[in-house]
Amino acid sequence: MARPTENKIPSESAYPKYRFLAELAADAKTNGLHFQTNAEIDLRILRALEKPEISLSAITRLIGAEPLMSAHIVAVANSAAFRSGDQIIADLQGAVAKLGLDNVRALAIALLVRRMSESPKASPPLQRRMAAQLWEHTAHVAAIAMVLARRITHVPPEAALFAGIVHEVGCFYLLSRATDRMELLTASWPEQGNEAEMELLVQLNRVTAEALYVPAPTMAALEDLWAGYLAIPPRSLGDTLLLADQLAPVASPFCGVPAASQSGSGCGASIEMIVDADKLSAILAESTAEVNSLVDTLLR
Amino acid sequence: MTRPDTLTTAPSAKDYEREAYNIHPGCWAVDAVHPLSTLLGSCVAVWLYDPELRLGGMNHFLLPTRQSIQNEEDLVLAGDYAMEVLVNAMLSRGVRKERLVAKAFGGGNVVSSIRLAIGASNVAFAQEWLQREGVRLLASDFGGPWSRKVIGVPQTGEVFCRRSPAPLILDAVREEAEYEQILSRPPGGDIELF
Repeated sequence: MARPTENKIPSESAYPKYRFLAELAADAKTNGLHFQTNAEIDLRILRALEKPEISLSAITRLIGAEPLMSAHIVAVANSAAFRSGDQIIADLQGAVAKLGLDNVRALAIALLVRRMSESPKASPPLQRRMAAQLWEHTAHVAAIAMVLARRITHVPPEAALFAGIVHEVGCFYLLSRATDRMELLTASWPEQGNEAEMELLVQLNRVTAEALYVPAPTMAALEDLWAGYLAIPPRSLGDTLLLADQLAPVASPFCGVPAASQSGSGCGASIEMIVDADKLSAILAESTAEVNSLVDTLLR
Repeated sequence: MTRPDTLTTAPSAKDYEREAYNIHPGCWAVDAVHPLSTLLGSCVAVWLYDPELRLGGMNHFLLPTRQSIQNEEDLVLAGDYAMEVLVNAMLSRGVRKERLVAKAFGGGNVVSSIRLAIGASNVAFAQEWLQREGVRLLASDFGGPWSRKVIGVPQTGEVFCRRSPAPLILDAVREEAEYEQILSRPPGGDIELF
């Protein structure tokens, strides 16, 4: 995700996009988010998951009323990232118990985020392409963040998965609201070098995450991501997220780099470090199956 | 200015950035207290650290070797010279070479194909030099269409690296281009002192 620098004046050609972003961010902050009906169900589940006293059976009942989310949660519980041995989990309650409420929450928000970007089949190809690319990028960042958390930074893996899923949630919201402003969608958002647009995208991501009840530690990690400084060696949840964002093989369409340069998030860059006597690249190579399994499940 | 050793909670990269001594192309610095920072385009910066003395040093070089440089006063812009002076400065502060570890950054593929080649050459030079001298490279972030702001913290040995797209990259490229022009000056050219 692009990050703002110092110059805040938008170019004249970018002004309509700038105004649209500013209005969208202000509206989200004042009036909350506007969703399609099916996304409202996910939001209700998210609200329920916020309650500390909620029981396993209550959350299972709530999720059970949403077939797609139920199937998704069972599939993730059986993915290589979570599966232990040959034991297959066939029921929702078992899957929720296996994953824990934090991971279930991450998956609920993942579905919500994905639904946000789903647009009618008649919507312009560019919008659909950007939404698909953004979701693919998000799935990779979430999966890599979880592996980095387990193997390198030792922050809670479920927090890393969740942070990865919501790290560009405002951009999904932007795509969902851009349907009637298609003339503003271009292959390069934000326009390269337009710090005002970059800053507004950060602001939109921030207000969208807040409206989705993203907890304070995750918000702090997102702020670290937007500030852009990766500690080497990485140590915090923010570093975990930032490194996952840099390692993701699919770039965000909102990374602020021209499409021609995008061979991946790193765009031809190579990052390497030694962590506890192991090379980052070796750790990632060992974790490929784990990452791919989680990415596949999230992309399903 | 708040010093790192007086901060009550773990300082963030932004805190360190505010306190850092900035290193320009062709310069180097060694410090035990203040963070050191630099802004890179196709140039490379190497951070050397002695964990026992908690002493850090950083340079910022424009070209791999001094062979392509005509003026003696510009030698420090070359990687081989920049590495030598940095190591010697650290040795003079009591560092033992066998304790040194390194982190290296930069070599961005910025703007033109000529700069792309320069970036790649700088990266290759830094890796070869460290290997030849037996200094362990603990981390690196090279290449890509990014400028980089790098901050090294002597008290902890940590380094923070921020990748940025344009226009920050233009500042880095502009600064490096100015030094490139200095390098292409004919020997004995006019020098204006002010």
